[in-house]
Amino acid sequence: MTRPWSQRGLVLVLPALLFVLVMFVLPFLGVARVAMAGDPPPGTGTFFDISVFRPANLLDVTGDRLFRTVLGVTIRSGLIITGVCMAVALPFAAYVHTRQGRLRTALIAAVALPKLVNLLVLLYGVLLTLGSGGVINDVLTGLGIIDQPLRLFGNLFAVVFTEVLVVLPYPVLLLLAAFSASDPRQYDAARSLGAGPVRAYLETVVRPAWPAVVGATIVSAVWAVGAFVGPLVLGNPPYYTVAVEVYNLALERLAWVDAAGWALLSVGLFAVVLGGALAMTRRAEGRTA
Amino acid sequence: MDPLVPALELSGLTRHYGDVRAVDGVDLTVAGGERFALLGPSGSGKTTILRVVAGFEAPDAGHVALGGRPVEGLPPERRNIGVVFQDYALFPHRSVAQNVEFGLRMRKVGKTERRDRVAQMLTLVGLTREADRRPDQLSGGQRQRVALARALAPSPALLLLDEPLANLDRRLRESLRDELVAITDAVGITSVLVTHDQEEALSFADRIGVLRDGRLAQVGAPAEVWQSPTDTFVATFLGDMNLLPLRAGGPDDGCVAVQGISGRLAHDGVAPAAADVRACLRPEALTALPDAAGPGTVHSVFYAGGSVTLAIDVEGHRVKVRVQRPDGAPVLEEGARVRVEAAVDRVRLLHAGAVTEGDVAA
Repeated sequence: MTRPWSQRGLVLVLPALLFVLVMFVLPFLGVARVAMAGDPPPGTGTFFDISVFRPANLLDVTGDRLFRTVLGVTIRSGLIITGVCMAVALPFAAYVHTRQGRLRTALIAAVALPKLVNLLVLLYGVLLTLGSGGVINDVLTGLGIIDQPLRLFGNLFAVVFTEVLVVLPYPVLLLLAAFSASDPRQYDAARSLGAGPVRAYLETVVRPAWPAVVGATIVSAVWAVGAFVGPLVLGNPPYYTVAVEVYNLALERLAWVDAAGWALLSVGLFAVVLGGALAMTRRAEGRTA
Repeated sequence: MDPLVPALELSGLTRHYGDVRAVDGVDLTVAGGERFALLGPSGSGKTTILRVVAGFEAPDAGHVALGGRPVEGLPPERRNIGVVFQDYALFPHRSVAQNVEFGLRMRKVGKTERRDRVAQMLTLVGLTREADRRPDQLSGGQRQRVALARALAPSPALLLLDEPLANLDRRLRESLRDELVAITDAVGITSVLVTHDQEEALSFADRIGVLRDGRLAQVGAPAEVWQSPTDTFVATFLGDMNLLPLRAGGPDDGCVAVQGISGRLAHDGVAPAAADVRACLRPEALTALPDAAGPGTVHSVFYAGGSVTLAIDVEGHRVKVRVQRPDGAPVLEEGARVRVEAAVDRVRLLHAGAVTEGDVAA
């Protein structure tokens, strides 16, 4: 529904607009400016020279082989994390949606629980699970499937495992809310018209919830490409993402101009990719409507 | 289908929800091509029966057979039953034509045949021009027509209608009810209508089954159920009914005297001797005549367009009398003295059962 802006409407959106402006747009413009600043003059103790305006810094970043490699790693792990999250979240949300009572409550609590636990505690738990004396290795060794413990962390598996644990509650809860708005009589109608249980569910629950499926995918993707803790704690340098490298550049090497350039270009690229994906989804939606 | 084999057969059908027995040992047979109505108040179990027949729920006991074939364990998609729901249950993201086409796609009907069948169905329900519209762009009546076309498109053996007209206004309801009769006749399909609206059931069905507390209280043709109810529940559920006790004494010469009513009337139904026997007289079967020395007083007058209903206090009972008055003019004023006479020569007697007041049950 599109309506012309009214004063009342403006009052409703103003707090959110102000928040985004002050907390994101202005700092991001600052980052963009730093990305195009000069290197700090020696001996000044500063991290950049704001009196210099050098857009060519961004070309330097794009030409940096490390940046392109890390960007590739970030996109690859982001796609895997998003794919795994949605592959787990869709059937899980569907299952929870079809359950009732205590089981439903318990399942929702189980998936939301990681969000209530301190992130460091959560990571410690993951280390205990994936470590050489962890649960998985213990079970595999106990069953005689392996002789020596597997190295389950410091690799892509550990990064994906950790990030899925962190991200999964968002798509699950989004999908569950959308599925719960479906009309059960439509499901019955589809069954009476010859659709099996899965086809009827897809037609009458998942299909009407398509905007939520797209939304859940975007939320997962945004979290996935921004992955930081998983790659840092449980990954190795080959699995470091842009977020980790920006942190290293800014706080370890104090290269603020490079860090800002990396951040600006990666955010711009992800925004373009996500916007394109969204536009393609909308176009496909229009074709099937 | 063999015309001697019933289209639908229920035997000992029982369904519980926790401690509540929603359907309690229902036996029913619906013949091929018949229009049957399950009529009952809310909570009487009529929708539960429909859901069990459709396969949406399993019975706790008893059997369902379709065309002589038991369908226990058969999922809804393999029962070949069309269902029309009260709230339409159309797929909101699909157009009218796509909704109607859905069942044909599920049965893997070829594209050309699908297109022809959809066109045929939309013509049948008068919605050819709305084929490309979405359900939210249609009126309530149009949506219900789409739901009917969608249910009929795959040529089901049985059509179940779950209060299909309940969400519509009165005029549209009456018009669609007539269309339902015409369309089911044209298609020649066996149909079972579930409704709490006695007028809808009476005008739609070849036979009616009146449900009470999960049990079939009476099954019969509309006129039979209307004129010869087997108990006071059926008598009072189908429209207004005066339930009046008999006068004491007098030889039973096949006639009885009814409290509040002048004269004696021939009777049928139960024997008149028992104390809980009531005479069942519909308001249309009574007349009120001005009589200054009469035993009754007009308590109130209700105008309803072509008819006027009088509530008359007589001999300790309140009796309803309905008079056809096309001009709507009052027949009698409130407070007028009257005597009440029967306009019929036979009265039905029933044991009072749950109804003990002996007055009007509306």
